[in-house]
Amino acid sequence: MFILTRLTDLLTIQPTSFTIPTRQALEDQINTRYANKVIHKVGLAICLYDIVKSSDGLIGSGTGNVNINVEFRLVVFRPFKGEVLTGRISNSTHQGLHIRLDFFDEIFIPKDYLFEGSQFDHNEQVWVWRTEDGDELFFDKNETVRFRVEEEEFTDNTPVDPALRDSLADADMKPPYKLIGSCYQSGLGVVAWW
Amino acid sequence: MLSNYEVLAHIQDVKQKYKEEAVEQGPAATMKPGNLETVMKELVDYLSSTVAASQNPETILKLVHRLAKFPFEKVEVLMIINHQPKSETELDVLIEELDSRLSDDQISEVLEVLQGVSGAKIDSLVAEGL
Repeated sequence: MFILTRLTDLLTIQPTSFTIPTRQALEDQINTRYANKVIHKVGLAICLYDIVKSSDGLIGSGTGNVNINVEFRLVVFRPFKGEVLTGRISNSTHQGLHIRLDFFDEIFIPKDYLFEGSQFDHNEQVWVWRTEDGDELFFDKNETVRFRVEEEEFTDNTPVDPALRDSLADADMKPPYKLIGSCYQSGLGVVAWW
Repeated sequence: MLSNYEVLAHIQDVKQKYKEEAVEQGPAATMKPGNLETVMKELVDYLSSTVAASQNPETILKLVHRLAKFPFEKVEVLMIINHQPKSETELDVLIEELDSRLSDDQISEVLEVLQGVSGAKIDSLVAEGL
């Protein structure tokens, strides 16, 4: 679920932060910049793990800021393909199930990846799995489910020149990092079933 | 790769460090970045609901040693640690082609090992009548 990633970045300490220890100032900078943010093709950064090395500080002329090159490691949320995770159902539509972990919401299980014999109940707005024995099992909202990670999708949301951008509304913005899950093997699905 | 437990332990360390700094330097000097606060809280919420909350380095080490004799891949061991499956179906989800790779006896042995490690916790649940 979690990996460590090594990054290097040029950090700036402003004169107002000179009173606190350099190490602490750097850690705060790294966390402010990366915590809870998606890094393209890397994953969702959680927080700093440790600082590997840092260069001497150089003061830029004119500002008084200290510039430091830092190499550090981050804890990153990046489940591998095939990994099994547990989460809660946040929403069901006729297209599939939306799953959320407390810290990550963009997980979707399309209807084709649900158990064979699953149907969407439009009145109740839930997915129902009719087993071979004729039992009806419900994917209720907020139920804890186990699912397998099938695909991951990164979208580069770097702003484009407004002149070049066509009339795409902001509502069409795709999440920067999205997981596609599946739920069609015995043992997967609502945890309480097994 | 990190196990859920390691991440949880790391976050608790970070929180502890901020607390100590707050004592030394006063709360104003050690304000945490808001995004860090959010993600740490949500992650602790999530991990506390998993088995990671009841693990410690000794039990994990013990588990890894005992699982070493079975033909599991590294990532599979990691998933077993993160999930601690209790039944064969749960184990089957984590391990690809479980039936052909392990004999029935080996499967029940694996489950016994897992039971043994998390045994203390299950006993206490039974005692509470759950």
